[in-house]
Amino acid sequence: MSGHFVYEIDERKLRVRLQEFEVEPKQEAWSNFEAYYHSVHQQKNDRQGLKFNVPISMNVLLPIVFGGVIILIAILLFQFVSIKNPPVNEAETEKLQNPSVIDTVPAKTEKPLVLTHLDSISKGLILVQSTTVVTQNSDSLKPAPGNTIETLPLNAVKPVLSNSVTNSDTGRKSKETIKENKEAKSEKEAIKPKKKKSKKSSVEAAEQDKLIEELPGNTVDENGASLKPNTP
Amino acid sequence: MTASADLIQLINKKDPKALKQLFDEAYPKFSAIAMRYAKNAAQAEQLLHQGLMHCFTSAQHHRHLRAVDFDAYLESEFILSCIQSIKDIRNEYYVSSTVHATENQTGVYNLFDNQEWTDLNQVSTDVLILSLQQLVPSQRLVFNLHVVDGKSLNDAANFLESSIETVKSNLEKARYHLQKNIEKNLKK
Repeated sequence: MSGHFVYEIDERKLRVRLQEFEVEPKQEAWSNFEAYYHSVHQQKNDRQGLKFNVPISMNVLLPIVFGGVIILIAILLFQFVSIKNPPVNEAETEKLQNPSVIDTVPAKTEKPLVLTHLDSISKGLILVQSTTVVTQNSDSLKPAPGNTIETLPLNAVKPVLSNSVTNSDTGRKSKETIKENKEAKSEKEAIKPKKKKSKKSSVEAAEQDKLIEELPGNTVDENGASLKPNTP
Repeated sequence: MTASADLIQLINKKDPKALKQLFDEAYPKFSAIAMRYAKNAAQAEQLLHQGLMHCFTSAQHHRHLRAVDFDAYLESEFILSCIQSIKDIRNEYYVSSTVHATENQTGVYNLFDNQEWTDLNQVSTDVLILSLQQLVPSQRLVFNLHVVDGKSLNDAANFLESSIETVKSNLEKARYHLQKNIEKNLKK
């Protein structure tokens, strides 16, 4: 603002004059205001027509909402917690019903003894076959008086057989025999846990050799090695 | 305004005659208020209509109004409605000062060149209203609220949603420009 400016208006008088000032009423003013009022009122009515009011009291609405929430929580809990009884084994139930029944050895499905075809092996190779037969304890197979026990199937006796072919000249094993030995080892490891080697293993090996000699179809030469079986 | 008790009863009963009676009683006073808050006659009419509608609906919601306070209540509601309406016109509220700055001046006006002494307090009401309407909206609102309607600076700052410093600054500018406008309008 300019420094030379002097405010000369008396604000008290100005206030009184402006507060006492009134405009003369006109008929046009009322008609204008009436038109404005009706237009605004019509707009309000149009807006109210779009509203959708559901006359449901809170006394009804709240229990429904809370019931829904409780049901949802219950469903969630049932998903995590199962009240059903666990399934019972039939063998155990039989035991409980008839305790005199003796446990039978479950039949194991093992691969039958497969003899290797030696046609593909060259003449220079000599067949060395070692067979291990593990039998079940015969005492458990004995029938008890008054009990009916079925005879064990042949599959219950688990033969373990290992074939190996070595070259007589070089003393090396062929690739096929090496593969077969590896497979046999892996099967043994899968079936039995690892045990420490003992002196008994050599005795068992001698017994196995005897059993191989006694098997029909296996022939043993002078050196003790098995030869090709007589196949038609 | 007279017969406020009857008017309150009519408003509470939602009588259609209540609006007509309110208009007849409030029009002279409210129209004058709208004239000094607005920038021209058209805007004053718009403010009057909106203010009267606002007063009527608020009186319907407040059923425990007393006849003694009814006039003051209606006046304060009307002023609030006018302030809100002018603030809602954001473009005019903020840009109007630049519009006045670029206005073509009819001639160079120097306060000290005029040798005739004029009593500014004897100016007619029409010139006074016109000079007020020529003010920038922010200055016009502050001057009306503080000087004419007697509100304090804090209340004015609250109504206008601005700081007290801004209100004081606008008030000083309004005084300066009002005097210049009066002198200019007297010369015309």
